[in-house]
Amino acid sequence: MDPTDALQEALAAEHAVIWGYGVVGAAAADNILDRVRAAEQVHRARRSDTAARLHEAGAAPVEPEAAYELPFDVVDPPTALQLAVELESGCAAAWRYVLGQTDDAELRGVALAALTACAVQATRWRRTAGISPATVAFPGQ
Amino acid sequence: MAAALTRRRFLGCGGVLLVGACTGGTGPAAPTSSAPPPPPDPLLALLEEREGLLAAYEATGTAHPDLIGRVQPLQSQTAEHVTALRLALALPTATSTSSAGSSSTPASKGGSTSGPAVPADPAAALAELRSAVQASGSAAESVCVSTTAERAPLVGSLAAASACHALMLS
Repeated sequence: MDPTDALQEALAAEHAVIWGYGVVGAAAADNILDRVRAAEQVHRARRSDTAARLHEAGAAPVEPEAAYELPFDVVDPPTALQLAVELESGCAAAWRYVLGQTDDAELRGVALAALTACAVQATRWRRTAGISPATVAFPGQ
Repeated sequence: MAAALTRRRFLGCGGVLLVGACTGGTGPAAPTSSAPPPPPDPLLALLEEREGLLAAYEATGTAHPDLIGRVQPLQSQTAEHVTALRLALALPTATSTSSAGSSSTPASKGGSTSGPAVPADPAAALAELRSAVQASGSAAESVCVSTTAERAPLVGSLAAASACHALMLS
């Protein structure tokens, strides 16, 4: 069972999230900018770890795209929060996929930690946005 | 209690007879399957925990109607977890919440969950739910790391959901 492709997808998802948080930060309310930056930092750290892991496995880590298509126009604080939720949900899905592509307990642990962190951050953003319920039954599905 | 035990033993004997019949021996279907029974499926423990959680959510909502708005979404998502686990275990999915006690009899022997008692203080009631949710999340984490690749995504989602539910209870 070779998790390389799934890890590449997870890395691509991390690239997209980091790009997306730039868009979020440009439209978000001032009082949440610190939280936006903190969330982005989490993904930058995970992106480095994931790229390093792929490198060690002898694979060339995928590069980020120059730009990404947004699922909707991000023009104000509410749409910024909505995008933040989308970013974390998409990233959760990528890491959930890794779980099913490896039997390695250590990598499972890494992927589960990432899935959980994305799901919790999505929940925080939904709560900030006043979206109810703030949780989903099966994060990443 | 005695009746349940008797029935279980009887079912057990039936199972052995059935195995003997299936393996096709014409002689007395005696000790062909004397091997120890396989260990219980780890998903069963996760199922029992989440059935217990459902009962705790229900009891909390009954004792503290003011908390229903906060607890209800978590309760219905936990009900979805129970359904998904029963599907993964190939168990019937139509369960009434009140039957949770009987299905988890083996696990709750001597346990502290004799019909979930709810603290009178709402904050304490939420804290109790939170620690139960965290415990079920930790259990799912352990299973996620060691289970089959086929099951790992579902169990991982359960673990992640628990972390989110715990956040909403704090």
